[in-house]
Amino acid sequence: MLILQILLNSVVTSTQVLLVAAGLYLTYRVARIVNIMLAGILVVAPYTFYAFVQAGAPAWAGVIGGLGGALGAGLVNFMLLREYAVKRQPLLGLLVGATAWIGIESFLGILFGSDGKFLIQGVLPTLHWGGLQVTWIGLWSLLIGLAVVAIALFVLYLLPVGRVIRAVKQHPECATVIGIREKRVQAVVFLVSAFLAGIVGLLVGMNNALTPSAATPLILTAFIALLVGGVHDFRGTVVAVFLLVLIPEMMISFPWEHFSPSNSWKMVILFVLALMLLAVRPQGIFAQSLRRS
Amino acid sequence: MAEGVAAELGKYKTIALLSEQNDYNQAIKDVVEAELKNDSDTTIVANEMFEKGSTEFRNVLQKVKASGAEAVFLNPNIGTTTEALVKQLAEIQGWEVQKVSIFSMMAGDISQIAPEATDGTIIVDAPTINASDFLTYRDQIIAQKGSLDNLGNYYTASTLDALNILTSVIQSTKGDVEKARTQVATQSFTGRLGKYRFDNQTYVQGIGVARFKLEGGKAVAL
Repeated sequence: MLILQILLNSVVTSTQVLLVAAGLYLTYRVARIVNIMLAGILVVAPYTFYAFVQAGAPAWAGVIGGLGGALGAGLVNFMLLREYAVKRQPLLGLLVGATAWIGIESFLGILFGSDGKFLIQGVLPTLHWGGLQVTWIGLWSLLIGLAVVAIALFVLYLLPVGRVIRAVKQHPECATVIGIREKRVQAVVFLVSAFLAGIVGLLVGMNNALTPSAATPLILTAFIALLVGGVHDFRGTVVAVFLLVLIPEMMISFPWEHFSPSNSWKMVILFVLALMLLAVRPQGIFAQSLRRS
Repeated sequence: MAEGVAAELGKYKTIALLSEQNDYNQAIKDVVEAELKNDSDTTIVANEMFEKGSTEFRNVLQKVKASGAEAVFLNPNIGTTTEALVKQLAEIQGWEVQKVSIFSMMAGDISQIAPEATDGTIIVDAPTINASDFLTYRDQIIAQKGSLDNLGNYYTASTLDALNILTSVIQSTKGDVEKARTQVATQSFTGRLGKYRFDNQTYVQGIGVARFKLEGGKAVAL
């Protein structure tokens, strides 16, 4: 039962990381920039929620305000990084995104203080079933995460709009020649990614506690999953996220007889695992072998 | 204080430690471990650390629960970490374990967040102060500032004592740093908390501890 409980808790975390990784993947596909600023957007949403609720607004208004804040930050994100996408300067884009993230984090710290905030007061409503337990927020994380993956795979691989996104990624100049508006596609993708980051921010803030740096472990894991899974195939990102979250959690949280590292080893195990996966599949988990000429 | 925690945990055959990874809480954990090493009747069956400022404990709590320890020492730092720990502790059903903790579990309104999960917890803390001159002075501070916040009586009294003792030492040594240091390290002083002596150590010797039990969301002195 313990192993199932740990698995359940870890799958909840995995789906939260997955939503961030999906945003990173999508923006990379259309702009060729690792959009690390999503971490900043991730905390904008729950802090906006917190500000709304503190001002006396009902929770539903806070959620709408939070997602609105994320979309606004997503628009700023697009305007900031668009130039670097056009000029094909991915490293500068990464640097600007990281600077914006740290800036947002610091600004929120000044505005709200660096101590943790609880978006939901008291003990969270928890579902107990057959010896297993999960908070309702955790269950929502799970359902939303799985739905987003299903929708993302469906849109990317089965709908015309997915072909448009892939066309912009594969050859932006040719895509423009055949009438695809690259800028519009990029803007939509940046906004969708910001929206996903906003959802994650709200879910994490409600399920745990909110601090200005709450996004750091999520964006780090998502970024590594993007590298390990391969930036060319979303399925690789999905599998990498689950491997990178579940394996360290199972190693740490299950009391193996002779091997039981403490929780503080989690990130170490994650990085070692990522290095091992990269050593075996450097082009990504689902990368096809290239013929050498 | 850590020695007091170890004495409390020494009453159980199997114990689990759950500590935050920062200098303060790690030092308490280290002293507890060292003290219990000499106690053949008590075995540490789980010894878990979590990152400083962490707010996600669901898996580590399940691991500690699975260890089957009779008592668990909850050793988080004051603030959000403790609040998150208490909230996630309350999500778990059917875990009959004696909880032992430190002042972070009774600071502010932490003990009122989930009394169903925290009632019965033994808190090992600094002694309470009942000297009438201190209580009068404390009331004056509260009248001026509103409250003593999380500091409580002990830390307020010890801060006042430290200020008075250092002032008297500086006056008597006429500002000679070496002489002042020697005097503090070797002599004993009287303050609101009683006698202070360092015996060439870096912390006060022989202050002792007080024990509390959380009941109905409130700390009751034992």
